[in-house]
Amino acid sequence: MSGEGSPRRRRRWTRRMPRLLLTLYGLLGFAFLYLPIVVLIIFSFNSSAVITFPLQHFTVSWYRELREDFVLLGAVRNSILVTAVTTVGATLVGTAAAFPLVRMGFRMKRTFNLFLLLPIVIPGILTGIALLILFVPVLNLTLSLNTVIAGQIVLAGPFVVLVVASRLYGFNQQLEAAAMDLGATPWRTFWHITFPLILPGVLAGALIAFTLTHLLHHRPGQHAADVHLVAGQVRRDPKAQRAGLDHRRADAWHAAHRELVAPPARRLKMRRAPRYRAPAAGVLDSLMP
Amino acid sequence: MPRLLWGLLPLATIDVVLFLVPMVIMALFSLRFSEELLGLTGRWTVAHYIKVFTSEGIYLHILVKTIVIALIATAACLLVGYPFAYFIASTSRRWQGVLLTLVIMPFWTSYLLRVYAWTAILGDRGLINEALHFLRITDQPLSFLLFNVFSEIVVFVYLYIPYAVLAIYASLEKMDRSLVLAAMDLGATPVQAFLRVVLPQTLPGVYASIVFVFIPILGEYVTPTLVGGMSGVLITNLLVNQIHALEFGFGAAIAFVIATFVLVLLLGLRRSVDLERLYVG
Amino acid sequence: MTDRHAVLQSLVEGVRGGRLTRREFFSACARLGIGLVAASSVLRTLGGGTASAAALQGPLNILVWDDHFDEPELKDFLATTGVKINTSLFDENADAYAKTKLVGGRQIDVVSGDALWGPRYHQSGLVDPLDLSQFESAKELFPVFREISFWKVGNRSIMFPWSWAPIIPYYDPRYVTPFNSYEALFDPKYRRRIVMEKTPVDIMAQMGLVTGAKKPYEMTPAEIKAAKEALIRLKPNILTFVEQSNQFVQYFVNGTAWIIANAHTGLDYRVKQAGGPLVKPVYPREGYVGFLDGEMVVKNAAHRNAAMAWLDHKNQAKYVVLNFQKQLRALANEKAMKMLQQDPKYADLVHATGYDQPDVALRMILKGPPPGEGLKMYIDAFNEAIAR
Repeated sequence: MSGEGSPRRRRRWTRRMPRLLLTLYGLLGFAFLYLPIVVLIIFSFNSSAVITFPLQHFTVSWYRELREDFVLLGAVRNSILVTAVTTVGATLVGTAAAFPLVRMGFRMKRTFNLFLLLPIVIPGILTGIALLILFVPVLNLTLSLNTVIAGQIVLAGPFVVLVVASRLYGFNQQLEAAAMDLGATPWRTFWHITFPLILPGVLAGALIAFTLTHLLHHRPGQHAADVHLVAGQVRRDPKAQRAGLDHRRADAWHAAHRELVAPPARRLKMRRAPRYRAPAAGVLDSLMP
Repeated sequence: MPRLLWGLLPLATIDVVLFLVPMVIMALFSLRFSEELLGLTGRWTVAHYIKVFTSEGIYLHILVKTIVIALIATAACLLVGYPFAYFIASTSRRWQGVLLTLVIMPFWTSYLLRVYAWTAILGDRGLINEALHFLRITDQPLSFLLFNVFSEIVVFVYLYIPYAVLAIYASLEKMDRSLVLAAMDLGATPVQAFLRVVLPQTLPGVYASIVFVFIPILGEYVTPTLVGGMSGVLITNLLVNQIHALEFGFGAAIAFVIATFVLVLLLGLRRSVDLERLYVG
Repeated sequence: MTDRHAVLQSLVEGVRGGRLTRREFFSACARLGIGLVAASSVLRTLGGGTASAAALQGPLNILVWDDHFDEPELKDFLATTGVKINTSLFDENADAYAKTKLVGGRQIDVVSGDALWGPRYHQSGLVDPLDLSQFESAKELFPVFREISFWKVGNRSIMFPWSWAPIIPYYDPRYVTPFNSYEALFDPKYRRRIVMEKTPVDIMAQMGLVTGAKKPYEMTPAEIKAAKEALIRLKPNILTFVEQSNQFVQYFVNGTAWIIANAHTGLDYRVKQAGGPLVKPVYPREGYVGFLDGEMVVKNAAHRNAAMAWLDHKNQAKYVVLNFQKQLRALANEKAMKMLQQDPKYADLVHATGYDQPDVALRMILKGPPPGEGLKMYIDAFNEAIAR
């Protein structure tokens, strides 16, 4: 809240506002946001292999397996790499673009703004195919993490622009002018005046880019560890016997495991298919080397 | 300061090379009959576009249905999200940071798992039905909770409400609070103060959330499959089926028709398209 | 690398001297980012390559279903040949086909596919048929799988056969009276009680079986129309499609589903293991579809020798046994089947999944792409049915 207001006024305002109701509402909102997460956490300690009530007995076995999986899946590293580079890249290009879009009047500005939103409008699966066609038959590139990153920056960039721009609009440019008048170079002005002031916007933009990339990147094969982290669903079970379970139990347990993430029926898609989120998930599917 | 304009260059280049060019390629596909997959051979045709508008009318019918569902979900996001954002903005500075992080945190877990969790909440043997049964309110499970348009919309609201909350919060936080106090001092009721002072100042955030909630929902096809049942089929489901039949040209035609609809809608919401207005109000 | 250094240097100097403009700063940062990524990919490739002193060229790129390989054989292959394997997963035959067609042998060496997709790949000139007699592990196959007629090109085979399973209905006997025909699925008392995996072409083929189509994967327009009508008729009974078959177990266990209309064999066992009811399989009298799949070597594969070595390696009985224990569905390797029969824990399952009866595989109506315009017509009809 920007306006502090005098204490007396504030109290009056508070008294009039049904403050308690608002807080209650906020708590309900968080309950809504966290209900599924809580359900997943509960099931991650449940011995049953399927996410369904009633609960069976308590277990931490899913978590015990987690370590194994972290080691096994080099994919996690790829995932981190892609997310990190995309976040940095999208934040840089997005921030750079936000300046002219806010501070300059140029022809076609409106068109450009609209153009920025377009990648969000086209379903990801189609963007993915289009990029695949561009990269391989047209440009003759080799598919790699780089192509994945490139595809993602297109999607995350506009979000950064919007967030940083919102910060820039509230920016008092006289502060910059003052710094320059006092002899600061443009760079120094940027670093000491502009940058600290827009930093919250840039960080927020980076956060959104990160969230978006991370979200898009939930390809099972790629991000299995995280998937398991929440539900305790684990792919492999080499430790069953070592964990001191008797043979029969270990078998049942085997089956349970399989069921979760790699069921016998082969079109299992947990680790493979569904595109996690509409825009751009398809991009990943097609561009993975 | 024309130098500033250079800042646009990286993003513009990326967008042109990695988005515009591929889309032009897809546009060419959508206008060609290709005998064999991905061949740009064949003749020019608008048959794919005609097919979007014919085919027993299913594509238009489902597109309209998708737009209606997306509008309902967006409206619900705004109605539920606005007071929520207001609550966050009304806490102390330190709490705001914590609460915002809490809002965005669920995003960092798997989309898929979060949607699955809803089947465990709404299903016949789900949390709600088990609770109702336990409390002896019902003896038969309420089966209308899952696998229909209702559950689809609930999950959409769940998935996209953080965007709405963040956008609305951003504009609430920038709002000049003293105007509210002034209005109240001048005798406005809380409702009047909200409608005439708070809401107009936060409209940019509302528009922004419309863009970021409404548009992505149009492209959803995983949630409809997982919780929408047979009545929840949306336009992108049909498109994806076509892509899996290697009908890239037709898939592209569907996508471009959707995009045209969306752009027309966005232009209707002109202000939302204009960054300047978006954030200055 | 030197380039990256130079960029970093200039960046540091620029910042220190305050000379750098915003533009230069950003462009330098961008170059740095790209350089880092490039360097890291180079390093990764090197990491895979350093261990290799053997003659085989790697890394091997395979586009594959995730039930076609597992960690042990990947590790062993790396250990014995020094060749690292890059795996990309897919789920729809059409996706893999499109990617192979676009990307080709330069970036994909081995691709998995279903029965009749093999001939499609071959007709499009995407794969090289294999001389199965060259592979040690092919000797372990059931003889019938070495002689699959539609995979034959001369005396070569388009695919190296891997696994197979019928796709059939299962029902929960607590709610459903036993049946032996697809007609039972349409009974109004099963309203919103049937769950199906979302496989459009195969669902259309099943509907074709219901309406008496001669060849369910090569239906005539009239037959497609009849199949579409059947699907529309079935819709009220379908509760939902699922994207992944592990949900089948969930819905049987909690009683949401009474019938699963298109599951792979072995579901009964998995439901039981998960604490659910003993569900029953149905082999409908109209016939049933099924999959028989394998691996193909892509034409002009950049790492062809490694690809051949990999196929020989991963098809060995010792790995096939592990695969069965994990996936519980029949495979093409006879030696592995015999090993499993010796294991009292798995002997019953070997029989229950039909692993010991390879002739069942040849009686199934095999999955494949409807020829020519067929695929398009199937999907159009499917879309029209579900959008209704």
